[in-house]
Amino acid sequence: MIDRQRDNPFDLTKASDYSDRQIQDYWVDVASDTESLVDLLKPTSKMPMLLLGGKGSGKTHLMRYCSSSVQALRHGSVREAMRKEGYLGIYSQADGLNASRFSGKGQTEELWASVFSYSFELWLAGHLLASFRPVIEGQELESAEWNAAFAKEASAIFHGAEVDLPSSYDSFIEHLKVTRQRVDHAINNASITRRLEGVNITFNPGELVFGLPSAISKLCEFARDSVFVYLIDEVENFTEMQQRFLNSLVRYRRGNSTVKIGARLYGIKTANTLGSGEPIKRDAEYERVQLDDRLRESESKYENLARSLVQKRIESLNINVKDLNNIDALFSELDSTDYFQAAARTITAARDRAGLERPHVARFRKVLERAYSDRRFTAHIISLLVLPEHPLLEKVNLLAFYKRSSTNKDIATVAENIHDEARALLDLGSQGAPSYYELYSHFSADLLAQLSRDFGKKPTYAGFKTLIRISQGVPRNLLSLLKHIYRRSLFAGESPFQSGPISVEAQTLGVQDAAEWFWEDAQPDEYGSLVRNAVENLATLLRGVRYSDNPAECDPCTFSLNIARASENCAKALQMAENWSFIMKVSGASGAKNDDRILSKFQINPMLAARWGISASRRGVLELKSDLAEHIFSENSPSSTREAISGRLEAMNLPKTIEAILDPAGRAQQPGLFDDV
Amino acid sequence: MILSPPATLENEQIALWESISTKLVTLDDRVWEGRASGPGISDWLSNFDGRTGASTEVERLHALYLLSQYMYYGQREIRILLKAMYRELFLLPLVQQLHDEGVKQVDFSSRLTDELQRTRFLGVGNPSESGVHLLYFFRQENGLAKSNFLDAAQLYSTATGPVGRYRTPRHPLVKRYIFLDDLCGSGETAYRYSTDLLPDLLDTDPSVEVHYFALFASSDGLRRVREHTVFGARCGAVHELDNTYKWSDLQSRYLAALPEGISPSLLVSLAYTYGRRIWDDYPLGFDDGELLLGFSHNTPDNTLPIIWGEEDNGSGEKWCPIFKRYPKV
Repeated sequence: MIDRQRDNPFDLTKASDYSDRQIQDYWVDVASDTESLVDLLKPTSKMPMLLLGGKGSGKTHLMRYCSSSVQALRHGSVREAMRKEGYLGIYSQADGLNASRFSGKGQTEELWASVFSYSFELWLAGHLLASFRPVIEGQELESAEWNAAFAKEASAIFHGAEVDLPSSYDSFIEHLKVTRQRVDHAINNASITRRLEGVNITFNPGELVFGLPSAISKLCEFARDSVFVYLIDEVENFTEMQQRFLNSLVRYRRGNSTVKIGARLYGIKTANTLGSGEPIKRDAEYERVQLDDRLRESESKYENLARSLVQKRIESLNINVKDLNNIDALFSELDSTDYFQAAARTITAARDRAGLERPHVARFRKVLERAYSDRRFTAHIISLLVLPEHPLLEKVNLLAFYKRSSTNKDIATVAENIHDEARALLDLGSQGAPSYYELYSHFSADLLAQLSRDFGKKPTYAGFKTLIRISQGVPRNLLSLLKHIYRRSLFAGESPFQSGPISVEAQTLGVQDAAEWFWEDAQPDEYGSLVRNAVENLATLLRGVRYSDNPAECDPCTFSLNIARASENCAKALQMAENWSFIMKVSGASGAKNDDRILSKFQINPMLAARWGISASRRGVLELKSDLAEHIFSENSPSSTREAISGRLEAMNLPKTIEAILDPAGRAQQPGLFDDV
Repeated sequence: MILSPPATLENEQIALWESISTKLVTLDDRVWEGRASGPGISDWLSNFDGRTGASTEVERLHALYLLSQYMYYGQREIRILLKAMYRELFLLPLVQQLHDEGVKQVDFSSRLTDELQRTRFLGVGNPSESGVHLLYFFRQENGLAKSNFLDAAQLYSTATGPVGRYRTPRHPLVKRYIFLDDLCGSGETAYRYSTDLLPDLLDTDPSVEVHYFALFASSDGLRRVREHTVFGARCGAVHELDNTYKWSDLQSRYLAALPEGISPSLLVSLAYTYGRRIWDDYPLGFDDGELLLGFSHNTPDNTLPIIWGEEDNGSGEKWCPIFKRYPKV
């Protein structure tokens, strides 16, 4: 049963799982005239760099793309790649060093710092020589004279204590390997003996990793103009002490080599160095690039990248696609013509046919009838607002009613005006009823989501642009979305990318699957329950607002709060949630609505939106007062948090909305249906 | 959209439908080898049309739940089970036996080889049936030689004596015959082998061992083989299915801890009502098997007929199966 269509082209999502060939084949760039992704990493610049980004933002892919083995695939050989690209990428992953070994076992931290620095340099130098070896293979490497000269230069780095210094390039590689094994042996045995014996540090910190490129360049003329770039990935796996050594390398970088460090957003634990401890200085000593932020900043760049990414993956299927240049056409969108009439009627059709009153109308009727005893009056109001042919506009009518009645107590006139405006909109378009249309355009997505939910359906997430927005500048998120969508589409019997676009339903279900994956995949350490509870609480609030009868904001997925007033627990939960990309900081602070406090803005990650049916678009900003923020983000009792959230939502829902419309004497003063008003 | 929840269901039922569908997507993708995707499931659901007294939509929701409980073993799983069968049911007991006999360490390997050379594996059924079909994978997975295998027709040769032609064991040096099957449901197949095929073999040489191993066996079926066949205690299964694997049993695992909105009585009634229309004699599977189990190479008739029934396969009326059964005919 397994066929080509079943091979999901989006299955591979982690660059660390790719082969070198896949790294090269799946590579796409932002197709910009100004700055490519490789330009962001600046491999030919000697300025060290911290390349940060959320999980799946493409750091590893970018760094591996610049590694020597992939450079060779691009240019036929590493030597040619160095000549053309001007650098040699020496890629290594921090977890390969098993960094957790360098602690405890009865030794001081100072001692471990020295041993780690020594072992780490031996490890990096091993990677350097292995990466450079193909460059000289068959040429310099075959010359005894060159080997002797290299051995002499390289050996000069070591202190006089070394008695058995190697005599050739290969024996030098072997020497580094054996020395590392000796250190490993000492470290491993220290857990039994509680002594660290047999480690003899034979060079000064930094001398090996920066000295070897100089030695090579001295002997190889062609390498003099090239930069030796140590690409050290997944540095979040290093402890603070270990990162301090890395920072020292940044500070004491010299010659024609440099260090580019890849880490997750939260992965940098310190800017301090070993020794004096003085922190390294951003922009003076190193550059800091946040990859996903950079992609988010430029929507068009990321869109280009996303489209190329999808094109490449579809191409790998070797199927006949009608127009691969028009990616958008491969994904259906909800039909918005006539104010989503078709989509909305599809939602309500079965129950309409069964003669059941629509839930939003039934709810309104119940509350209205409780507030007004005159049945003829309430029936008249309802008859003005219902719009059977346009279920979505019917929802707009009710929303307009809730909003306007709070300032105009003459509810019959309010309802009549809304009725007229809805008609005018249908007859004349937006010009016919500008303020009504404005309300529609602000809230249509939320009201459609409400309609779906009222009828037991999931809100829609569809269209390629929506997928790009949901992925938030993180290519792996996009691939994950597409992976799940493709799977859903196949299951539904569709032939994705071959016959017709992928259905809205398959996309919606795929987005939902991806949201579950995103939620489960993140493992926020010991703060797991704090963060998950906080995000659940936050989502409950945002969902509550979105599905309320009279939402305070449209498309609520952004919130603001005063960090300065947050408790330590609250701030910690926020920080951890951001580290794990459950929430994201939104650039630019804003002022509080009622005073001059400066509020920080955050957005719940749109990847998670479908989990709770909240909006993936960023429009309205919900301000969280300090006490509510504490309830949401600190570990309070679940019941008091529920109460606090309900309290915030109460005014947005029936029956409070209707109560607000009525003044205290409202019931007594209600006009009769045929009174002059 | 295929497999969309019927709009007339209650909201909670719609949510349940969607959550079961999500599970089915994963099952189809990861376990069922793409054999039951949305269109196939939709066709199968259309069999259910309200004959239990519940609404069509509610019946289909229950059918969907039933399907989500289906145990399918694909090629990869079958290969692993065949490995387990060889090791757990054959090799380890043999090693233990040699130890018990006091075979010295130095002689152990050669003795084991010798025992293996005096062993023959056979499939249950004729060469076109599933027991025999498994032999190929069994040999591959366990690194056995072709010479370790026989088919049932090679058990005997014919000799002529004073009373005419008679059957005589073709391989007098073989010490044990191992019969392999995928499923022992009622134990009927093993029983038939015991009464029809093996008596002459054992009469000629009572020291010959005959074993019967199945990948799966119902407890009742295995008991029957143990108590009423020549295999006796030399029978076993990798996975024994007790009564909790019977769909409508009081202890049924399928009816315990149901999600809200799924009625156990409707689940039972669904299988019975429609099962009767497919196979009047055995509405819950051959010999009341009541299983919910299938393999990549076939679906046993002990499994609920609503899973595999179809007109071409003896169904009393038109029925669209979700997992096909290839009948013995």
